[in-house]
Amino acid sequence: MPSDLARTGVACAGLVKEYATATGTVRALKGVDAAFPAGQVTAVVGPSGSGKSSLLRILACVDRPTAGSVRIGGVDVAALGARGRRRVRRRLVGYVFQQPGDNLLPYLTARGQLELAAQLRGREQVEEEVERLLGALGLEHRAGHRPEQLSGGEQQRLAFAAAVIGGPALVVADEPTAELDSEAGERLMRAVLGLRDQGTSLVLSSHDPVVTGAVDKVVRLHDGEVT
Amino acid sequence: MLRPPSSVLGTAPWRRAPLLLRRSPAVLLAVLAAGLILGTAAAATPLFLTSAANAALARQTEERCPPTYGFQVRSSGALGGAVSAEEAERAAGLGGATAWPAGRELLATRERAVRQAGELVPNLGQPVLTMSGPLLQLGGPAPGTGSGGRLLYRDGFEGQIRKLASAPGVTGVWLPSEAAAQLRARPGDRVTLSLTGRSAPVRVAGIYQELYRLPRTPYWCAQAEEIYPPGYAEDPPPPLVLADRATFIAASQRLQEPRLEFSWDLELAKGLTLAEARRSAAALPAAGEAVAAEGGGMISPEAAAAFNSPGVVVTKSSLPFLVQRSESIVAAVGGAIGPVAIAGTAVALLLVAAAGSYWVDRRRIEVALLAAKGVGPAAIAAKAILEMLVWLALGSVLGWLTAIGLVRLLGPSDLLDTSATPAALARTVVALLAGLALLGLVAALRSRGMTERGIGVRPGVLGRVPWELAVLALAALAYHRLATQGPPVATGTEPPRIDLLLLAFPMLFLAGTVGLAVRLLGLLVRRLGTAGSSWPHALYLAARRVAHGARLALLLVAASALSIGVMVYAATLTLSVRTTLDAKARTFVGSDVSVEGFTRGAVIPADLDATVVHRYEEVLVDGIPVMMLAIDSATFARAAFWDGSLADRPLERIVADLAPTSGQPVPVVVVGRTLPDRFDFDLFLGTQGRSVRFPAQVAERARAFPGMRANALVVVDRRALAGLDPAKETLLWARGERDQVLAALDRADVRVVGVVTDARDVLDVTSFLATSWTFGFLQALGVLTGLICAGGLLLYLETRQRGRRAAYALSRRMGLSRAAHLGSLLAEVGGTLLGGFAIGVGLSFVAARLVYLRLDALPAVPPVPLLRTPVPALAGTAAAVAAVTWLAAWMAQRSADRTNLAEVVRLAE
Repeated sequence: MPSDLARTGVACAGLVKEYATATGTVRALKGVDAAFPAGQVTAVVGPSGSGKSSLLRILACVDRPTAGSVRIGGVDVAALGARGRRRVRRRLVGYVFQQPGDNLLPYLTARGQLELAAQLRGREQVEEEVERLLGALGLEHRAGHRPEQLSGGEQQRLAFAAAVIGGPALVVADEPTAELDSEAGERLMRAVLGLRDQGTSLVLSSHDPVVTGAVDKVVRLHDGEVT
Repeated sequence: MLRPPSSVLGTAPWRRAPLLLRRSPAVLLAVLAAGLILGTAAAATPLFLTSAANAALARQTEERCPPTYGFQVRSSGALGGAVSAEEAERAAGLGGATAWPAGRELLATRERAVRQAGELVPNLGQPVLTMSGPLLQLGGPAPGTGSGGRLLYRDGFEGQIRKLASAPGVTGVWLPSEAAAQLRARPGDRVTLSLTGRSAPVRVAGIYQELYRLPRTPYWCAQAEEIYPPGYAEDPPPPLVLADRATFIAASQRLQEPRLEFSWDLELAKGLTLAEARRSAAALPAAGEAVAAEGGGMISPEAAAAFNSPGVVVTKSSLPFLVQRSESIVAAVGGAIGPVAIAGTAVALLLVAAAGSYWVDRRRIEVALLAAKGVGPAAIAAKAILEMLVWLALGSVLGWLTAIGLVRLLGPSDLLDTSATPAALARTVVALLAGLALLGLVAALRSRGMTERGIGVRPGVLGRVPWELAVLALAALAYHRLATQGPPVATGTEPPRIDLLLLAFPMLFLAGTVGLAVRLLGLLVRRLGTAGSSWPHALYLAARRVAHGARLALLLVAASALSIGVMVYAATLTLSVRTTLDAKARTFVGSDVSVEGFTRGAVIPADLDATVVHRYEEVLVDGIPVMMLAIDSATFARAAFWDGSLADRPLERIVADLAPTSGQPVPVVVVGRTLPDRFDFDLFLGTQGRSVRFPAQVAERARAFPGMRANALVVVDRRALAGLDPAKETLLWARGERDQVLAALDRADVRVVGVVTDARDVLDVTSFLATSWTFGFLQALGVLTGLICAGGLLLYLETRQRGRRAAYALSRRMGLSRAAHLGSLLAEVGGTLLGGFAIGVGLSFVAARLVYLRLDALPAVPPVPLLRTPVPALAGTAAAVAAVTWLAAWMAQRSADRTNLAEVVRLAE
């Protein structure tokens, strides 16, 4: 499947997402058609409430669409059952939450976070990969520290490392620079582009011009539709 | 290299799970508390039942003479001389020995047999021998003095008498003081015992106080027939001449007494559990056989009918009966509380489930992260279980210990069977396993909801179904069966048994009506969201919060209403049953104490609330016998028992209306039978052998009246019968304790010679233990669910704490005072709990009112069941509601006060 993804990337068609609320049904996505090429960084941009987070959650198989299809590596993950979707999340997708702290377990060191992420992907003997990623993201001197001992930027880079380790075909990040200052944001983007260069497909949502200026493709959303 | 998903359990979050909860003290405490309540609920039933069993046994033994429920061996025969041919023939016919030793050897043989038999029965004490002879003549040292008497020996008697005088170094007999005075005998003198022409001179070792003039003691209770025969106060029993063992044997042999009675009393050890008593009871038949086999001429207990035959042994023990009755009581309690206890455990499991949900809330980030990484619900459930296992188990064990402590402290008895605590622990372990499974299930479902269900799910169809109507229909069915199946409390030889419907009905009724009330309340609560713009800040905030979290608030209202409702229902019926039994006993007796047979014309002491009542049995109305009471209207109202339910008017006014007027019909109170307003009654004059007819006018119709029995009763002022001497029974009714009443009468020189009846002794209280214990257990369950409810409230507040802190910080920035915020918390929590309190109390009263008339264990004895409001229980519940409100609001305010304003505002923005 990863080889398929490398060839076909991710595509969604007619994607609809509705939420039932106390005041009625809210349509967050209104038939989104978009492609996210393999080996590239795609940014999903749009104002608040445009449906960015909904789209990313669906791409990451964390949520289900109300209608439409999402094909990852040629497989329609929207049609998979819960078990199949879990397999996709475990093997193929890395997801990065907006808040840096939400991506890390507070009782594990930086090295422990990466080892856990690798183990959850079913990988063993990952010491070399862990050291390589820590070095690539400038965290080698923080390997023995727990999240509370890291800065926001370091936490978010570590979150990317945890999402990437084990070689997922797609990494989805919801506004990864929103909680970071500009310098930390720029440093994170350099790391992201480095990961792309190693063959990882990434989809990010952002308002940040630093992000939109650095990515390969931009998908614009407005009121649940691609513009 | 890929590994199977099961290997997830070997990774750090699962490997380190047992230690992780220490990082979340709030969750740890919640799990610990949930475990504690679960353990308490699960362990309570077997412990309570064993406590009830032991208490049932203890209550019954308290009422009895100790030897009667131990092992009593009785035989008769002579101590001296050879076995007569007639005795030998009779004994042979009964399968016994035809020759046996005499004198000391006979006693030694029999004592050895009894002791060996006693050793076969666990928990029996050493035999206490009593020997008594027939009535004989006593001759004093001075000529012409004499008295009747009975020679008696009992092991250890010298320590159980009040010695008035003694002769040091003299062995012989102890004389009661009145007999000694009559014989003019002093210690050291010689008196003569005579029987059928033979005499035995004995020395007087000492003089003691007559036993019948002293308070009764357990030591002498086996001789009650000799010490306290009927009418002993007026006609003292024959003096008991107490002799030491050697003197008794020597005198009996010299008198050649043919029919001595021997009795060995082996008392049961004190404080036995029912299980121990059961083992003792099971061994009694073997002991009886052993006595007959080795008893030196004593013959099988099966020959009890031939007790008059010398040598025949009779063994007695009421222990098997007491054991059987205790088991019946426990069965009655267990049958009722078993399902209730299961319901209680189920409710406690809900709190465990809430703790599991709380764990997910507090570990939301970790759970969401793991779920986003593809970890499935089963693995999350395993993690939740691993994290909470130790603490839930610890809480459950603490709950088990708490249940032991509570049952010992508050249960029917502090005595528990040794097998009960392991049985309770086993139940706790089962409940713990169920709790862990539930924790895992809740964690799994909540984690699944974080990834697969998405946010903002529309309320399901199930949420809109009025399930309360189905529950109410079941309640109606239960009530219908209650109403049509006869009295739910059975009577007869078995103890009254609580019908399960009597417990099921209120549960169903409360659940259905509370659900309906809360559903209706929900309509009102939603309107709070738009109302109150002109209200004070505190109320406005509270209303908005309740409206915003309406589902949780209504859930709390329902939970508190149910727990309070169950408790108040149980407390109401418990109090009502006790009051009814008390009223029945006092109505039957007439007052607290009734004295039958006392000095004629006695002046009742002023410090005693007492009245004299004449009871006439030979009264006819239209040829039908009725009972009539002639009362003293000056003293009756302050001495007789009265309850407002017995009639429509106060007793004082009823009695005042009975004053007779010359030439007018006699004013009467009629009870129990529909008589016309005017009727004639015929009163039989015992001394004249004729009847006299009186016209009567009904002054009051009462539903019941002091002193009444099952048949009809007519009450008149005794002045209406002045000058007549009808056949009557004179009673003195008095308020107070039996001993206080007797002491007051004694001080006033009123000599009591007849039966003294205490209302507390009239009813067999043991019969009602099952009833009161069942409702007591239900009450405890109500308290337990109240605790669960309070725990739920605190979890609810803690869960919403983050949002509240942000809201508090923003409100403070907008100028809200701290006092107003605290006021809003008090209004929110207090309003929720007060709603639950009002609904619970109101509906429990309705439920109790619907069923209390069904709780009449003695329908033949008036009055009908009374309904009483359990004021202490209500006051305690109200105080608990106020305390929980204050505690919850204070904790929330304290947490809010610690808010880092800058941090919260940044997050909020």
